[in-house]
Amino acid sequence: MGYIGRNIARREDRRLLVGRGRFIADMQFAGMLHARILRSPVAHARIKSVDLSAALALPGVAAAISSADTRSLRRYGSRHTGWPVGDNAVFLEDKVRFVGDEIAAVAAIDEFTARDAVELIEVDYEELPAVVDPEKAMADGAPIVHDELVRAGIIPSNVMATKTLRAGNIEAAAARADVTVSARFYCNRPVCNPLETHGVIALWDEATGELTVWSASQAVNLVRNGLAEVLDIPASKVRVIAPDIGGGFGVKVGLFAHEIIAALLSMKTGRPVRILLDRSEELSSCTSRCAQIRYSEMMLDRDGKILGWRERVVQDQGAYAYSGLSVLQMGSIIGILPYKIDNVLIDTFCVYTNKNSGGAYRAYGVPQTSFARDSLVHMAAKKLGCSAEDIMRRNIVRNEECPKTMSLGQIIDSTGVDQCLEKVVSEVDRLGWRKDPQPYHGVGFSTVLKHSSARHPRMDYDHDSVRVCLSSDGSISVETSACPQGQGMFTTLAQMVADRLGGSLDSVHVTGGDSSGPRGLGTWGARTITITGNALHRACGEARSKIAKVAAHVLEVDESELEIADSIVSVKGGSNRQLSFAEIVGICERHGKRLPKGMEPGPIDVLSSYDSPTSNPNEDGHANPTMTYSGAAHACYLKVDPETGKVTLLGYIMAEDCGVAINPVIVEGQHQGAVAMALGQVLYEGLEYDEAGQLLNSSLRDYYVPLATDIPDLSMVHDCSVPSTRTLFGQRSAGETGNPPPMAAVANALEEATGIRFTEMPITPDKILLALRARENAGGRS
Amino acid sequence: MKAFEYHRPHTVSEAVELLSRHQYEARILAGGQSLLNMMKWRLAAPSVLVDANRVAELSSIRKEDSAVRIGAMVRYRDLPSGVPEACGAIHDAVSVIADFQVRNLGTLGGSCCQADPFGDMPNVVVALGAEMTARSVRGERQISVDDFFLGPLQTALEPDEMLCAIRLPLGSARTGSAYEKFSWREGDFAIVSVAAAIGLDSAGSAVSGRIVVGGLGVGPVRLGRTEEVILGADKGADVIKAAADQASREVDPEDDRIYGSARYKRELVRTLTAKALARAWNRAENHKGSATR
Repeated sequence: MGYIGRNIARREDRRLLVGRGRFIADMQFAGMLHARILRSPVAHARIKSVDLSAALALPGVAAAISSADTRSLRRYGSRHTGWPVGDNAVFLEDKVRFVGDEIAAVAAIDEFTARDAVELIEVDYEELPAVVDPEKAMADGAPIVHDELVRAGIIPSNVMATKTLRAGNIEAAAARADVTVSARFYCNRPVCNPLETHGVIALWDEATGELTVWSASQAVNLVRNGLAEVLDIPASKVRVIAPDIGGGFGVKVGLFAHEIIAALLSMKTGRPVRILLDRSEELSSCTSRCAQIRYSEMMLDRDGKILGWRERVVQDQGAYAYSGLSVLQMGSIIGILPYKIDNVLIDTFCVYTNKNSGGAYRAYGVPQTSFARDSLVHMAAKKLGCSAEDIMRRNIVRNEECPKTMSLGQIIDSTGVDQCLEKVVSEVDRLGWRKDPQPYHGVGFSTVLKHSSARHPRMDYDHDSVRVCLSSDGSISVETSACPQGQGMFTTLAQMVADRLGGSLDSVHVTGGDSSGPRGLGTWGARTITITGNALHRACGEARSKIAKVAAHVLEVDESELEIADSIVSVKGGSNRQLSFAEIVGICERHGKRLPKGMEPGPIDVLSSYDSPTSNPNEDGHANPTMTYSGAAHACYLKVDPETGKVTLLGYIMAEDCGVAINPVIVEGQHQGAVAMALGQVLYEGLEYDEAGQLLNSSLRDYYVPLATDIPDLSMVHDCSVPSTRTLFGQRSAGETGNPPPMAAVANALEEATGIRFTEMPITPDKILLALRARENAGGRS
Repeated sequence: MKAFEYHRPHTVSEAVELLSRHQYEARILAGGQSLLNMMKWRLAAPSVLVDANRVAELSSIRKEDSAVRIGAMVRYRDLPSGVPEACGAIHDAVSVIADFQVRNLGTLGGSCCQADPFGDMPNVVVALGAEMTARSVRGERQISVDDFFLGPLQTALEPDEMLCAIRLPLGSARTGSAYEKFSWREGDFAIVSVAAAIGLDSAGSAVSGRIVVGGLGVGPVRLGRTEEVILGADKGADVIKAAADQASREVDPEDDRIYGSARYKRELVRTLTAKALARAWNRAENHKGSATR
């Protein structure tokens, strides 16, 4: 094993750093048109008419479309709901359902002309009352976001789905509990906000009927299938390619309206059409983290054993379903880990509102649950007179118990999460963060076990394919269905290939992001390292065995006498009898007579697929939706300025279990990025809407992401990895595990610093200072 | 694309000639840190852009009798070296304006003409009792800073007038000023800011005082009753607390879902007034005359 575990420099970096990346905005085609989308300025309205004539009359405008052009298209989105029709379509039912919803689009010779033209479109709105608060949206008589689905009998109201997850006997647990803690938690609505906004180029070839689409997408095969379905053209004639992608974090998974619009405009004009969303559209109109109100209750005995977990969860879904239902279910199932809780009752409600739609966002629904879970652990510790880490220790699943099936069906194959907890606690003590408590300073902890792949609750498959092919010079092509977005995934996969196949690292070329390549679901849900990784293990294994068979025959030794390293097969024991991969490929392809009897001449070209041994939820919501679970424990040290409410992060410690780390420096960067992103959510970020559903922060002037100056030193990352027993390299995911723990770790540290429990994110200086003043006025500590 | 004429005059005379001809259609381009963003956002679409970056006479800082005259095109980054320490609030403000890029290009005059209610410099020049020199083809006039800012993005300049200089008085009395700003992140627009300037007599009592609050959404707001609390007072924790409490009562902030509630902003006004006033007072006490450093 030569390459796995080494800090190989990312092969992607040089090209990107010297400006040779190729993103959608870099791509040019002869005759390419530039399109802009007219988006709704209001939250809820019926579109009575759209007049495109002034826009079409503007010189330089090539085409414009509105709902009149899209009524015959098939709806999409039912993959996520299981309904007979999707809840989404381009310009659906002449209605807009949130600020930013699409109304019409214009293609013109340049983007400025397209912008000018969009301003000339005249729209007659019949404004409807908006539903903004999800709990009010559940009430009788609330305005209905999808009246067409209600009329069709698909849903009864804005409550688009309910699901109860249950295990054990929650009533008995409640009766037995010595201590019960509960609170209403609010998880806010940040957006992924990748550096590169969404963008697409569509090229329709009328002569062949082929549609080629370049899109900043994390899932080219899902987009291909979606486009074929919506546009009613054969999937075999649709090709979707993801070039370099500047960040995704979940928001680039699945089909988006702008992809369909670009295709329609290309079909209409016969020219390539590009749409680049601007930052404001990225904030307002792509998907966001699923905002949730969670009424959570934890029951414990006096020794700190958690007896029960009861919740009522209302998800503020926004205007369309996207993957919101699966976020809600997966997050609730997985989010209560890593604690062993036998009695569980979680009632979930997914509710339409007139807002940006909830969708995939780093770590899916786990942070929402984690925030409530470890906040309650801390609150319980206060009641029991012990420390939060005592309760965590008392309840955390330990590696020696594994494999262990948890109460909601989650199967923990092996884990380092227990070690992670011990590590951060000992590091906090070693650094003396709690030794001489300073006023307004505090330390908080949180833990997580997070999925390392994500079987969609409504999809009966979860596979990726990998093709490994050797060329006559011995170089190794590896085609994958991965669509990486900056994670250094091709470096990581190349290290895995080189070790598994015995090739030299430099000879391995990994590609992905093309629906013409192998099938697979894409890069999201932490699945590439595990699912693509396992498919790659199989494909390389098969290629390797063919190489060994040929070499053994030609060198006239038994296969067991061979060793393979750096693309050379040699006879063990210092003999100079050897064959290079190039020579072996030459024999396979051009010298069939030298092959073992029965082996047909031909290239070494292997396509292997892997589907995870995971499960969909049963009627009680039990499921094991992931290959394995990566674990983490974090500690946050902060101080609060009692005059402004401003939080300064003084230190942050991570301990992480990602199984076998293929490239430790990449893994570390993933953890750091996940924490920085989470600190944004807990302290700064989130879309804010007023009572009429108007978006209040649609630019980066008002939508706060943390700056470098707001992020503490994140170099304290401790590796507590235990190899997975279910993945073929022992690997687990790394990109998302760091995201859930900061939410509760910060809130818990804030309680230590101020004595006040904050349950609504983001926890802004405003909330902190007013809470401090309110307590002073009530005669509390000053 | 919104087409516009672009002019790059070399003298104020040429510039005001263009303004005279185009009136409301024209905008002066100074550092471009606000106007260009507004044009990109299509919030401003001037049909004539008069680029003042080549007008050399606007880029100097001159010491005059009991005043320092700052050309409207002086960049933020050049202010600290040219403005006396007596104008401490200017020094404070420059260090908290946005980022290096903005400080390298943004200008004092541009910021004043933009009159962004969340901007920094409008509050500071009001606290320092500046006099604004405006020119047009009709001639030159001085506008007291108290009459200059009319509201968000509004000033007393006529459409044919150009702001040429900002004169900061340097009284013979011992004076000191300070600027305090609160934002969640480094370099953001202020959620609340307070500029304070104070003048002391030989006995150390306050003979002049200006307290200006920014970030309330309406532009620089002078707190007259807070200033009354200071006038005639000797330094001490009591007067600073009394002034801070009065300031907190005197402002009328609005609730804001993004930046904070009215109650929160009142708390910030109290905190920042106390800090700014204390520092201005210290500076006045240590004031060693008005020499340019």
